[in-house]
Amino acid sequence: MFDWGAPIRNLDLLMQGLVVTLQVATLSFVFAFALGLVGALARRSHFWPLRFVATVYVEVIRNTPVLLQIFVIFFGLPSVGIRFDAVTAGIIALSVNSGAYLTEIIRAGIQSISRGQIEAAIALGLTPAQIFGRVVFPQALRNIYPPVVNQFIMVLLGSSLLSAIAVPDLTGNALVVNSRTYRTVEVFTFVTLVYAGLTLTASGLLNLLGRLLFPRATAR
Amino acid sequence: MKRQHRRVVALALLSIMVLGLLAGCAPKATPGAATQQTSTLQEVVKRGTLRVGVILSFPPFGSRNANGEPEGYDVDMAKEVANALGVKLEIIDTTAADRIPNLQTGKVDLVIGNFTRTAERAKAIAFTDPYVVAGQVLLVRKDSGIKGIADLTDKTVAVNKSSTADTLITAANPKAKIQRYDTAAAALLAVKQGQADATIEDSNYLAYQAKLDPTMEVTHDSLVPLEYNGFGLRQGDVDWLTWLNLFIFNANASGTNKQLYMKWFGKEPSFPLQPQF
Repeated sequence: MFDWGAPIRNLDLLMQGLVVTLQVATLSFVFAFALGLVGALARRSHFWPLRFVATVYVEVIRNTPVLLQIFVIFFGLPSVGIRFDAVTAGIIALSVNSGAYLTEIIRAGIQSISRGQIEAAIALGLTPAQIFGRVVFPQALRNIYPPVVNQFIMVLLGSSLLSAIAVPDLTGNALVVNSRTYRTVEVFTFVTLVYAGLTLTASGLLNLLGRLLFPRATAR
Repeated sequence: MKRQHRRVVALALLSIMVLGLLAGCAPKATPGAATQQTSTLQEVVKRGTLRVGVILSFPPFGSRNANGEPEGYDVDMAKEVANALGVKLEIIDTTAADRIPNLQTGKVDLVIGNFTRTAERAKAIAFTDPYVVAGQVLLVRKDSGIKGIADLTDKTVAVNKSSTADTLITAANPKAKIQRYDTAAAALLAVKQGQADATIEDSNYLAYQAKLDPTMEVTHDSLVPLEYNGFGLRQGDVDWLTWLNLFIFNANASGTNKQLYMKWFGKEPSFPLQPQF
């Protein structure tokens, strides 16, 4: 009835897909975090146009489906002369999408630092850059670490949508293997388990990293 | 007190929403998958509804009209089958990749989806006699200079993940770069938007697309031996297969099939339904 050899015989194709998935997800997350940091600062800026732009960015991205954002960047932008290959378009789409969520997460983290700490830092004569880099951000990062890890998992799983624009990621290659072997249940069950193993490993490692980086957070 | 009251209302609202969602997702019974003793033919007649998988992203074989209703050559063919059975028709939108899984899991009784009959596929499902014949050609932008598969070296070809084109290109010109999309429509869009240099598909489908967009053209010769496309059904159902073959024979003999072809493609079928020595 079942032929579990089907995914095993095509393991090299699936593993190539896994590598693409990991690369795309990691790169996208790094860019998304940078975007989120800039976005969070912009949303707390005293200069209203900056605040406005950041708010529009967050609201537009968070209120539209990520698949459509991917289509717009890959299929839509060539109409105005901007052309990215599938992997680049995919990384841009995931970064821009996740950046909006990270903007809100990081902003929440920054706002969680009490006003008194900043006043104390000012009293100690720290410059604004020092206040942010040494007082506010490290503590904010500790507070938002769990949702940030969660966001990474979202990017990792969300990268499966890129198979729609022909990115040869784990899902894309699984669809190809499926169409060659017609072993739907076996192939998709196998790939689902690979994703589960991947995210469990990733969140396990990142939680461990969190404990090393923020020892006080776990002592509570 | 007032606060607690509000919380009760909120909870009630939430549970209504959740229940509503659950009701919407309630699993429908999927008969037909397990019980192979009774033929699909009898099941369909008893049920009074024929469920046909059609690719609705593949005009003029299948698409949706302005009112969202399915239309196309394969859709009309499905209507003829339902009429001949005297049952209602339910069209189930599918993709090339989902045609076989839809049959295997009993979600459809029949697939009419420009289905090319290959020996590999016939290991998983059964096919009827052919109802339409096609070649495979390339669709390119007019200024691309691509005339055939040999010109595809270092060029990008957009294919549908599970069409027969995928294996064909890889074998004929290993230096062609392949992009695999979920639908023929997405592969076509990739060529139109310059994300790929060519797409390879069914000659009937691409000739129709080139007619719609004057900046595109199709290459002349079929890149493969002709493909004789049939309906797909589950394996091991002789009654159903025999009935469907009889239906196709009658549709050909009466000229209904030819009429439908001319209605959708605007020309007579290019190739005869039976191969000649």
